[in-house]
Amino acid sequence: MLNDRISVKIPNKTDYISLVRLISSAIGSRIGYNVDEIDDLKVAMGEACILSFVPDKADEVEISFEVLKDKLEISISGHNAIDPVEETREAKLSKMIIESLMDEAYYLDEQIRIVKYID
Amino acid sequence: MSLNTKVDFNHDHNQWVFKPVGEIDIYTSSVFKEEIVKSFEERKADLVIDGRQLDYIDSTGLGALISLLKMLQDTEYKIYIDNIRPNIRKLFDITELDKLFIIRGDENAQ
Repeated sequence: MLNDRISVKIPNKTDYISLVRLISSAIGSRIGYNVDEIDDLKVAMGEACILSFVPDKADEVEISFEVLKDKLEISISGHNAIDPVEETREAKLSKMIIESLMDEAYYLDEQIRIVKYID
Repeated sequence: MSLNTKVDFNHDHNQWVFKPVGEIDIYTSSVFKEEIVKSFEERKADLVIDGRQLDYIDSTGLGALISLLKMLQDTEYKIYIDNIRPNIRKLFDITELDKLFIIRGDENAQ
């Protein structure tokens, strides 16, 4: 899977977040993460999706996984840049969880990028 | 992506016991919360969430628990989180909700 990119487009409905977690788990398993690392990835992806599956935004959310030699880079489109003043309690929880479980996290205007290293 | 919550009233301890089986996530958290609020309004008592069969919780589920905590804050009643698995305990620790909730292990199970 080295240097491979896997992209999926999912309807912008929260019903599909569990599908994204399942896909993340399968990819994590293929690149050799252990059980705890796979669980961390699934949980962080669930939170990234909660921030990205925004009602009335795009019809689809595109998620792209890029397997590099020493890390897995994931981008999730659809993120609505949140005004820090108006950030909800749940959004703060999501970010705390993502930042704690992943090695890098970036919240861009229309995208979240997260990185998890491969030991 | 499913949740089934078993609800019991424990007369010996005068408390509600909720046993969520499955996942409390963005898809199920509002129903989970409503079920607990409804029970509490029906009969005011302490609330016990028995997490023995809870596989997964996300930030919306944690948010639902926080709003239950707020519902009880001006009352004499408490909310207890019992028997949660290590992967879920980890999320309480990360979000520092372990400081807000009374989390009990097997040794305190009732």
